[in-house]
Amino acid sequence: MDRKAIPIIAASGIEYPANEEPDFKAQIKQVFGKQIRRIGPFIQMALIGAADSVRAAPLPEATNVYFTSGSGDMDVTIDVLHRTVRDRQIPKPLSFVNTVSNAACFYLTKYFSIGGSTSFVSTREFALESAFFQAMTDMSVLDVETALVGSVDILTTPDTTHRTRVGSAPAEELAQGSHWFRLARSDTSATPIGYLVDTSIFKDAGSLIDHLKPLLSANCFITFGNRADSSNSQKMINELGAQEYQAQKQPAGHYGTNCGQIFRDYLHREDTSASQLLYVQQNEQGHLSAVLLAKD
Amino acid sequence: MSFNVFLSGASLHTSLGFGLEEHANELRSPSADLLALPNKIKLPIQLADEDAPEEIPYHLVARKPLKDTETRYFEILEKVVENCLSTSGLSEEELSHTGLYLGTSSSDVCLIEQNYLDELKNDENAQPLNLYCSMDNLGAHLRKKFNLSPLGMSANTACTASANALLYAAAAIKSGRLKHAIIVGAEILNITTAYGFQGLELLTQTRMRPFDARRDGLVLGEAASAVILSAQKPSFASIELLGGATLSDGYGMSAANPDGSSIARVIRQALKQSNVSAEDINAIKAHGTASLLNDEGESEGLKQVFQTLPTITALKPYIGHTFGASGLTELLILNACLDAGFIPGTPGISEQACSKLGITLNQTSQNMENPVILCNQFGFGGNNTSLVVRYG
Repeated sequence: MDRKAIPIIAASGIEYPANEEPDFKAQIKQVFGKQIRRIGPFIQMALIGAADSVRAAPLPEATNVYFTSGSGDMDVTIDVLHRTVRDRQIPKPLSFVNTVSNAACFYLTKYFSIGGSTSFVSTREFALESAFFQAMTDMSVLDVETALVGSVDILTTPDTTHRTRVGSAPAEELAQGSHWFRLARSDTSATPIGYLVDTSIFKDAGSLIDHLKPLLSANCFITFGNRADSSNSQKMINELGAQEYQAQKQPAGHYGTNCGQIFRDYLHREDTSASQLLYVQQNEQGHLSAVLLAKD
Repeated sequence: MSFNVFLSGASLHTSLGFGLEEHANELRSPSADLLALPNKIKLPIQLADEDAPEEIPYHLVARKPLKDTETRYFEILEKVVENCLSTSGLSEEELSHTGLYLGTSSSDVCLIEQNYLDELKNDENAQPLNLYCSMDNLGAHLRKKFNLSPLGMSANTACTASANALLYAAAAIKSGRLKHAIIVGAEILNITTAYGFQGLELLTQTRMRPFDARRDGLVLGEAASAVILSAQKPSFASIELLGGATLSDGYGMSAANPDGSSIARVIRQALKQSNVSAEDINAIKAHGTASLLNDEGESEGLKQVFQTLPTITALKPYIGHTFGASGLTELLILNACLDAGFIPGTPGISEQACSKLGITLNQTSQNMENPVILCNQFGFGGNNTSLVVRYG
């Protein structure tokens, strides 16, 4: 394995299609043995999704959290906008405080005893990719032993407005999910389930191919996000010599960070040893993001 | 590993003015008016609550009266970025490989509010957030408008956002992923923040007096700021980011632990990462929000790290609390003053140490050459950040 590749020692999460109404309160009680009051679905999903990655092995003091979301905690923002703009009332203090994007980080710190930093970072249309990028960057230059990279995207109502909020086509299935990946330094004693080899954003397919070609092995799978242009995709398949990845469990529907489901699918399945997975997404401007994972 | 990256092309717009020179000129011998409560402004949405104020004191950016929310928002931010890029000395080719890191707390919420308000006028059942939601909408707009690298991100960690954006960009440069980055801090008036702080009863009705026995809250402020970060030292005197640290604190959602432990921890880590000791620090730019708990936590933290406190300055009394933009904006105000050879003072605020906090603030402009400065930022969500910079 490339010495710069970062071991992934756990991956966990939850995902639900739009027609399911999960009982997050019950799940919180199951995970923590008690209720956590005054938190909404966004923070609940962050805590539930992260739990198994956190508990996979004792957390070192120098653990950083890189949290992201495609669309953020829309639930709490909608509540505050209803109250202030529509109802002309002062926002409730706790609702207002929870509008900060990193509100979930406070609960992650408190309930998982995070000793390092927590951050909320995002790049439009490449949210989870940006969190991976920063985690990988910090681990290469700072004394970070463990990074928890995670994302949450929630469903809101009504359906038509939600599609506008998340940039979804009318016929597309909708879903919500929380995906977490625990990265460790290369000298970790834990057994990796895979590696984060590279992640970046490129102006076009040509520069992506030039950058990634030297990093790819003979057994490389490739998969594309929902906005990837088909001609670009075919060009990459041809020039990179990668075969299209067939996920055992595809994302249940559209949300900004549903690539997390694909990463977890790849990392957890048993028939992809000694391979790589390249995930490519495209933004409105035609820029391309790439996340390259690998397994021993 | 220290960062040792350099700032250039600094540009900013606050209630004090536009650009470094205007800020230095205002702060060299500040008039009493500058530290008074700013004018109260009528917010774009009036609340129905009987006890809701009709007007709130607010440090608006200079010479940009409140009108046409969307035009004003983009004009303020684009002008600051444009000014930064045009004075950076970077070629078009270099700019196309320059990553943009945006630090903001409220992001484009003023546009979201305006959009919802407009839609409600036509349809009482209109839905809020009837647009594409991303915390990086502004970042994406700026990358596209100025043809910057697609690499980069928005940091949304409340009041530490632009300080953290600086750290993330520094790491990207140090790792070799970028040669240059532009860091942008943005905080533009919105009612969520204004009425949210009103609801938390954190706004002063007198004046903003950090660490002072008479302190009773903060004043809200707007700011836009931008700077280029590079590994190469510019040919002129500039700020060097030696290092920094950001750590989380599970004590409380809206205030750091008042016993100072979490703040002392982040300061110590920032010093260690910068390869400097507490004795090497010549001055401290405090976070200094003038709220009861935050100033308590910061003063305790400082006293735990420093046996003898160096000169401490606080800039929020001049520009208000500019939240996500405050880390970068206040650093660039220091940059402006250091270019002119001084560290600013806040006459009449914390002139004597109050018995509980034991902090005195610098009272007059103090000449200082090539100082090493600690800059503190602490935010909602338990996010604490300290930067260590050297001027020279």
